[in-house]
Amino acid sequence: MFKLILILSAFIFISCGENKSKKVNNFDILTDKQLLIKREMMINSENDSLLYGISGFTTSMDGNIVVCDDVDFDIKKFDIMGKLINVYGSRGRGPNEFTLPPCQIAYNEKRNLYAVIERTSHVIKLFNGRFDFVKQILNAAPVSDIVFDDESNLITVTPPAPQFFKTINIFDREGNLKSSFNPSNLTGEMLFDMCYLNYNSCKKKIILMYLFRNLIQVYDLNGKLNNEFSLPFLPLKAESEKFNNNSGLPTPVKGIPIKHIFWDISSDDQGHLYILSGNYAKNGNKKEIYVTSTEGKLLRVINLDFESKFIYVPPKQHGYFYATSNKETAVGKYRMIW
Amino acid sequence: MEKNNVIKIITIIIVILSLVFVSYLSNKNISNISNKNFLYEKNILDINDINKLSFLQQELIDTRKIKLYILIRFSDFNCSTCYINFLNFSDSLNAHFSIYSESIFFLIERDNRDLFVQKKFIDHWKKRQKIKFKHIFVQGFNKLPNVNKSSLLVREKNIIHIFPLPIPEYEYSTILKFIFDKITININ
Repeated sequence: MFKLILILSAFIFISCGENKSKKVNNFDILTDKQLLIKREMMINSENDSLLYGISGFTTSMDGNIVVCDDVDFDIKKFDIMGKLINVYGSRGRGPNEFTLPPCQIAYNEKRNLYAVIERTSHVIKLFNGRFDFVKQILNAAPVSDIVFDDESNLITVTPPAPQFFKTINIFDREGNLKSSFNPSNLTGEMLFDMCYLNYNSCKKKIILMYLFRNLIQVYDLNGKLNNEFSLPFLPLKAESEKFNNNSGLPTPVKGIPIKHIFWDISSDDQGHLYILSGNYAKNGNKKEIYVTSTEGKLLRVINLDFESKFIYVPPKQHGYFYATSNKETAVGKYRMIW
Repeated sequence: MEKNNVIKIITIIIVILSLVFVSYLSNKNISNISNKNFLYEKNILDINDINKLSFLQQELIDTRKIKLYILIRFSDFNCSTCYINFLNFSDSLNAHFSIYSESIFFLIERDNRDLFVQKKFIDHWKKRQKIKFKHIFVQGFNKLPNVNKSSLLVREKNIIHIFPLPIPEYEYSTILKFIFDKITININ
């Protein structure tokens, strides 16, 4: 009997130890995958009064960097060396103006066309390469992210409320709604289902990145879920606070997330995804970029020595990415040393 | 007394009574606006509570002239509704700058940036949004009772009424009317 108890105790001790070591080594898979980077250029690094609140950015076909500044209500264009070329728009109700702060921008190289959304607005404004207003497209609900696909279709995502409207909408070149769908496996809690969008031109897939869930989903252009994955070293869901609904009205909001799992996503033309970390990252909030395949295999980790809220991997500039810093008042261009 | 004179006297009395009645009704109307739409169930501060804030500049403010403090915590503007609500209100104020430049004052909460950087940011932001009123950096929002976010603090004699952003439109116009002396507020 004593021997049996002894063996059982030893077994329990060993299995506890194993569990503990598994937890401790959760991040171990990151250590041999680090990808070094080198800064090549930076816009507004010395607070040169060029940028005040970056809320989104892209690059044009000639390599210029085009930035939404939501403090100034305008779009600023910089050349590849970071020199300010022009400023477009201001606060106002005209076609070339913004009623709400511009917050996201997408560029379509085939048509030399920019799409800009304003914060919490359902209006998408299209501008030509000289930033003259072309037309506006009305989405059913406020748009949280936009991207163009290879066929110049515009894809939008809204905060999910599937009982009222579709979350993903695809508009054709003329601005007509072509198709729409709802993401799979939503929690039903609107804030936890908030996601950003990316189009992977190599695989021709729509990628959804959830801000408060450890979940990346890969869809084809027909809205069919191809695969989804989580990163094993991060929690499945962000911590939240209970939402006190004092209005008495029904609401899809139950809990309010207080931390981020992810902040942003981009992809290169080789099919890699770049996912910007949230609060649960080993290196700190907004300071880690996970490079994965669309199947979810972790390939590399980039450790940033600054906090970044937005990243962008430009097409046709292999081995480079852009990231914001200095509380979204600067944009840097970084070379990845593979 | 002649019959005609009696009629005249009665007519004058009726006119006077009518005027008194109309005057009573209009006063009652103003009082209704103030009580129901403006002051009703609003949180208030004592005028001395403003001194609980730490003012980071030694500029002299003539607090006797100030009718409206605009308390700004910039991070609150991540809420688009609050930001646009504030900017629209601010546009309305700007139109009256020449007359009321001393009556409206911005109190901007210090954030964790370097003071020089924040000053530069605020100067630029005010310029872009065409805000001409003076501002001062303060710390200690949390020391003000009943204030936990960016708010308009409307001063009336020795009390301050708190209007957290965003403000409903009907309150907007009432605040503007009050600041620009178009209505009288009777707190009693």
